[in-house]
Amino acid sequence: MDLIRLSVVQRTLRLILIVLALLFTITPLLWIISIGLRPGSQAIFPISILPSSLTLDNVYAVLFGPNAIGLTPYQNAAVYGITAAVTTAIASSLGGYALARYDLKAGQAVLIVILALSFLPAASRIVPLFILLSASGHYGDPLFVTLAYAAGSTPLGIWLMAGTFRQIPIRLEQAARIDGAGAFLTMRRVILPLAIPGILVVATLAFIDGWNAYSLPLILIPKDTAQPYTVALQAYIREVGFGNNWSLLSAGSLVGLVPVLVVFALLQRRLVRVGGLGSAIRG
Amino acid sequence: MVRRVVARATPWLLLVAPLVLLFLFLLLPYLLTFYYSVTGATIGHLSNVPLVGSANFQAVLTSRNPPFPGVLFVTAAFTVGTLVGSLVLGTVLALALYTVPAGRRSALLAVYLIPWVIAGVVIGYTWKLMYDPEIGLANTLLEAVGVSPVSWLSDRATSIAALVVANVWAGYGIVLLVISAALANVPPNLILAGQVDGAPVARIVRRIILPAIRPAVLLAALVALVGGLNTFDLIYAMTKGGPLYQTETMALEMYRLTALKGSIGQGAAVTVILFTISLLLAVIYVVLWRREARKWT
Repeated sequence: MDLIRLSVVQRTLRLILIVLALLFTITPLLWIISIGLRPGSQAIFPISILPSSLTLDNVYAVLFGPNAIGLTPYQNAAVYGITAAVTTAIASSLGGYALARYDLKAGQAVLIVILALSFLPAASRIVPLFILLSASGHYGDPLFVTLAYAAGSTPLGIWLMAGTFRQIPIRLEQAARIDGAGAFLTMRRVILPLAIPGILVVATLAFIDGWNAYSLPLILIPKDTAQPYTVALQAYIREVGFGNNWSLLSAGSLVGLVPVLVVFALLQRRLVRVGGLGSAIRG
Repeated sequence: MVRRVVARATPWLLLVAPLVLLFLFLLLPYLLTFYYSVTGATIGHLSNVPLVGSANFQAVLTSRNPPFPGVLFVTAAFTVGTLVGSLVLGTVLALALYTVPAGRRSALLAVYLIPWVIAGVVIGYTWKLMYDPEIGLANTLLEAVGVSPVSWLSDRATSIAALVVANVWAGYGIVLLVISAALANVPPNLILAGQVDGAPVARIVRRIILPAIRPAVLLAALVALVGGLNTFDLIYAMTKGGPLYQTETMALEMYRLTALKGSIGQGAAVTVILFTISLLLAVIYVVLWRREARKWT
C-alpha cells in the first residue's frame, strides 16, 4: 500500500513540477550543446532554436584549429584532477582509518575543526592561498595548487573513509592477524579490497574538484601553459561589448564536461548517496 | 612497554600526513590572512611589512569605487536570492518525489544533480550564453512569443536576477538531495497514523513531514547561504562583477583588491570579514551536521 494516497489533482501537480524541474535542469545544457555542435554560420542572430545540421567542426577547431586552445589545457586539468584524486584518497584513507579504529579523545575535536574549515568554499581560500604561496616563494607552482584542492576535498574524504572502515568488521582484521598476516598484508589483502568502493567515491569527488578548478589556477598560476581549460576558455570571451566566440566557447566547454559526466554516470548511485551527507564541500 | 608506546602512537602516525596537508593548505592560509589584514602588504612586498592597524578595514568600508554598501547589497541580494530559490525549489521537489517509487526517484535525482558536477565557470559560460542578447535562448523565446528582447546582463536588477537563477540551477540539486535523504528517514508510522486519522495530504505534510525534516532543511539552508556568500567562479564567468561594479560581490571584491589592485592588506581585510560571517554559520552547521550524520550512518 502506498504510504500516501494522492488525488488526481495532486498527481497532476506532482507530474508538472517534476517535468518543469527537468526542463529547467536540462534546457541550458541542451542549448550549449546545440550551439557547440552547430556550424558557426548558424550561431548568429537571428538564431533558430533547432540547428539544421550538427557537426564536430567546433570541437576540432578548439583542439587543433588556428584559434585553438589546444589539448594542453585539458591535459593540465587531467593532471590537476588525477593528482588531487590520488592525494585525497591516500590522506583520507589514512585519516579515516585512524579515526575509525582508534578511540581518540583529541580526534573528535580535530575532526570538528576540520569539518568547520571544509565548510568554507574555495572562494574564501583564494586570497589566503595567494598570500601563502607568495610569501613562501611557491607562487606559480601547479603542484601546490593541486595540493590546495586536495586539502579542500580531504575533510569530507576523511569522514567518508571513517564511515567505510567502521563498516568493515574488526574481527576480519583480527582473524587475518591470528592466521599470521602482518599489518601490511592485512591492510592489502583484507581491508583495502573492502574499502575500495569508499575510496573510489572519495577519489572521484576529488577528481571532479580538481578537473573543474578555476579560481585558484586563475590567480596562482601566471603561466599560460600550465592553465586548465577553465581558464584557457576565457580566450573566447570578449571583455567589452559583443563578439564572444560562442561556437568555440561552447564546444570547449562541452569537451570539459565530458569527463565529469562520464565519471558521474558511472558512480551516480554511490555519489547520490554520499552527496546527501557531504554536500557542503562544493559551495 | 615499547609495544604499548608504538600502539598508542599508531593512530597519530596515520594522521600525520592528512593533518599536515590540512594544516598547510587549510588552516595556515587563514592564519596568514588575519595577520596580513592589519598590514600594508602589497604584491611584491610581503616581508617586513608595516603594521597599519585597522586602516585596511576602514579603506574597504569607506571605499568609493565601488561603494561598500553597494557591494554589501549585491552580496546580500545574490545570497538571499540563491538561498530562497534553491531552498523552495529543492524542498518542494523533494516532497513531490517522495511519493515516486524509489527506483524512478533515484534516476530522477541523478538528472537533477547533473549541474552539481559541472565546473562553476562552465555553468557561468552556459548561462551567459542563455542570456546572450543575440543568440541566447532567453531572448529567442521572448521574441518567439512577441516580447521585445531584454539585455539581461547590462542592468543591475536583471543581472542580479539572472545570476541568482544561474546559481539556483547550480545548487538546488544538493538541497534536493539533502532533503530527500531526510524524507527517507521520516518514520512511516507517523505518516500512517496521520492517514488513519483521515488527515488530508496537505495537513500531513505541514504537521508531520515538515517538522520531521526541519533540521535537514536548516542544514541545506546553511549550505546554500555559505555557498551563495562565497560564489566566485560563476559570477566572474558571467559578469566579472560588471557592468561598472553593478554585480560585484564581496567574493569578487577580495579577488579584485588582491590580484588586480595588488593590495594584499585590503584583500585580506575583505576576506576576514567574509570568513567571520562564514565561520559563524559553520559553527551552527557543525552542530546540525553531527545531529544529522548520526541519523544517517
